[in-house]
Amino acid sequence: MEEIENSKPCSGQDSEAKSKPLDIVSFDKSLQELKDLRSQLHYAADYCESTFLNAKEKKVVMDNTKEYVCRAVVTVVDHLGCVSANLNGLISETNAFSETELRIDCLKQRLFLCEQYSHKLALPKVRWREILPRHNARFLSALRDAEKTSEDLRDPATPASRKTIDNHEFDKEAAMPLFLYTSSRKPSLSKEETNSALVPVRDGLSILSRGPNPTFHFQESRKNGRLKKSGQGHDILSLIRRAKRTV
Amino acid sequence: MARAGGITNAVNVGIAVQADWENREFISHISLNVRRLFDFLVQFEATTKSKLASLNEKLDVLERKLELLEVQVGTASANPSLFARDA
Repeated sequence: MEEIENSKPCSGQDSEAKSKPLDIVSFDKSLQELKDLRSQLHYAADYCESTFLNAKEKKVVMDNTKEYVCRAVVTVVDHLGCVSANLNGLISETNAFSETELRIDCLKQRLFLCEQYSHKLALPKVRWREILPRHNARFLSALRDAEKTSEDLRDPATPASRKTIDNHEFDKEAAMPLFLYTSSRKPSLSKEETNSALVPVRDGLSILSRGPNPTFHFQESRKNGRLKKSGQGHDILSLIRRAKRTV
Repeated sequence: MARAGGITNAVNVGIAVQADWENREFISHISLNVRRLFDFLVQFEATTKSKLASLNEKLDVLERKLELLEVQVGTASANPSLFARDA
């Protein structure tokens, strides 16, 4: 009977003053006390029943039982309040969640900064440059042999012309397999007669890393002019020869 | 004598009835308090369940955020060339 009276219910003010792990310990302790109280109440009920049946003065036993029930109810209420307050305090403490949210936001921010840094590093690769790589398809005429012969006939000892010829002279068969199949089958090139005789220029360097070469185009255009002139001169010469023969 | 005995019996019956009413009142008080206790426990259960549900939602959100971060970090670490300085 005195066990319940001696059991001290925990106070809510003490639990508030304690730190978080102490709250958990106090909650476990109060829950364990509540569980023990159940067995004590069962034992006390059995004792009161047996005492009431065996006692001659039942009124005294009844009064003692009433008093015990009152104290037991109060004790149970205190224990339940203590347990519920501890549990409520444990659930309501959401500081850990806010801290975790802050940490996750911090990690997100860091990741975003890393992405920005990587983009910053990758941007110069695609940024505009002063010298942009130009990929022009360049061709040489197949009539260059005729030009070469005519130039040789006209001025065989000219070093400049020889230089240009030597510079742009290449093995046609070596350049054919790579370039001719790709560029000569274009419909726009195949329609014209002159384009059918064009042969791609052999490139020693890679196409992608090659910059613009205006001098080459200039020479090319100049060559075409010469070619036209030499072709006309050759026709004139043949006409003169034919006229001489006929005469 | 018979009259006095009848009065005594009536008084005893009245005392017994009063004691019975007192006992009933006590039991009713106790049962009322137990019911209040039960109501409190039911209400506390509902409140605790709702709080635990909200906590569960928060934990789910945090878990999803962490999974998203893990995927993003995994993607970034799988492509180290993104972070390599241009030579």
